[in-house]
Amino acid sequence: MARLHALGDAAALVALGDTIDPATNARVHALAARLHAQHFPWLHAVVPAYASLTLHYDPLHASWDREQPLWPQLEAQLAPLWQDLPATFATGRRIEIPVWYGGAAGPDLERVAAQAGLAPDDVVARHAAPDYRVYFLGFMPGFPYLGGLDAALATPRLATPRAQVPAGSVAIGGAQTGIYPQVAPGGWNLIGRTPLRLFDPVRATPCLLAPGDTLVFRVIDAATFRALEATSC
Amino acid sequence: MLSVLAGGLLTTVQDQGRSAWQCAGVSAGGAMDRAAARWANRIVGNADTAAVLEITLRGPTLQFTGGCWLALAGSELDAHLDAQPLPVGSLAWAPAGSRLTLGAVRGGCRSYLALAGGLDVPVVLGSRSTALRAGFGGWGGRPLQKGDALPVGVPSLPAPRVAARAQVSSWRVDPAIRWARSFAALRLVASDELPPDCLAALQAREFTVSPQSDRMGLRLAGAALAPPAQDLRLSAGLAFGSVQLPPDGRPIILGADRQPTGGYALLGTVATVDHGKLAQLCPGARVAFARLTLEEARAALYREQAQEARAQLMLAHQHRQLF
Repeated sequence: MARLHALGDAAALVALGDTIDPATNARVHALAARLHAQHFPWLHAVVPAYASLTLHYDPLHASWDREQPLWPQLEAQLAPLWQDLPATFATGRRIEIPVWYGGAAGPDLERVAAQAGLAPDDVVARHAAPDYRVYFLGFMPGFPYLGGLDAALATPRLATPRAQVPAGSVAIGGAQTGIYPQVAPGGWNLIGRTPLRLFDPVRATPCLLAPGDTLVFRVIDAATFRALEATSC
Repeated sequence: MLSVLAGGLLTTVQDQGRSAWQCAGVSAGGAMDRAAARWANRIVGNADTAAVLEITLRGPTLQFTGGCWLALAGSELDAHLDAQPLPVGSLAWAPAGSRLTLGAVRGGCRSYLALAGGLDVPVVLGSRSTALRAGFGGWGGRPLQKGDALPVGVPSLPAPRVAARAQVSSWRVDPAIRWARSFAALRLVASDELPPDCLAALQAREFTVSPQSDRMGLRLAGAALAPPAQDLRLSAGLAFGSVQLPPDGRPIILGADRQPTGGYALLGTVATVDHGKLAQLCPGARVAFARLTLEEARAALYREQAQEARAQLMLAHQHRQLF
């Protein structure tokens, strides 16, 4: 059911599958929750991804018998937890992300439309239609890895990445869609922008999104974007 | 207060990082050479987690508005407290108004300066370390510049009886010096997903650290390796010292400011005992890889812990002599 891989001598990767799907990812987050509830003193950090969790641990912690191999000791602690993991999310919020599509906010909307053989308005309609699942946060602070993009909108990354992508940019890279939480270099196709701040390190809840959340995009115009931008903090 | 008269090449506030925030996409961060940062702290009587300055290749010039105990650890560097030379690993008293001039880092790439009481910058997401790319933590999320004035916490060591002149201990403690200037053989726990021919190719070659290296990762130049025919790795967690192989076949060894997850092929992860060596590699240094098992890596780590315990005893003795 689960496989343990060494990531050096201070981290281990627990693989629960090798596909991107909601059920596997739900089990990943269920295991993360069980691990947090255990408060293992040797465990520094749990990093969930699509189908795995990475455990950063203290290899010298007094919990370990140094005369015995570490792997069986680690497995003995973890095996009871990875039994019978539920394949559906128990919780998860529904979060609406307002997006100004096209224009100055989405310079690559035309390119995505040409690639898909659709009118730009159809691209916007198809992008704003689904419920997206937040699989995990990674790549940069608060960046959501999302599942649910309409396959027709898949567009190759830019041949030459931009040196600066504005914060809040909504973009498509290959078969994935995402939102840039901060200014960063990037090679994804920019189709719109949200005035919401996805990450603020000094906010009580630094990340707007959490794994397991359902995300929906709502179409707004430029004037609404500017009004929201002025009031968002 | 610590006044910055010149910032140096890249001087940042660092501690042991914010590992627990990796699940939010935040880099673990912290000192590249964690053992060196820890020893600088121990010499001045701080907790291992206190914030220090990480000095890269060329150091800053600093002035102390109040008297302060300080220590350097990590790579050797040109250091003078007023006119007195200050060797790495010694304990020094800097009287009010004295000046610390840090020049070229000579042995490796990074040195660490600890002040008794630690640098008292705000804790952001559980750490005082500077997240350079994201621009938060440390001192305004950026490297130090001329004109900065950093607060120092409450020291655990009392001031010396004669507090008006600079003093440098005749003893030195620095068990962190275990790397060579121009060449490092890094021992690696190989990824079990890796095809055997790929690992053999990695071990047979020597690489050079590219100038495009930073706290995020060391890019290796040299003959390209053939990337795995089919790379099926889904984006998943990475660790300090993880060796990635992007499609161009040139390995990247990840550092403290790595992204927490990534999808490139993974060759393996450098063993914790060699993390200091890794942190001290400069552009132009040569690198080779050797393989070791998880159990061998663990045994080496326990041996190192025993050495550190001996150094700790010696340090405790010196602290007792002092007061």
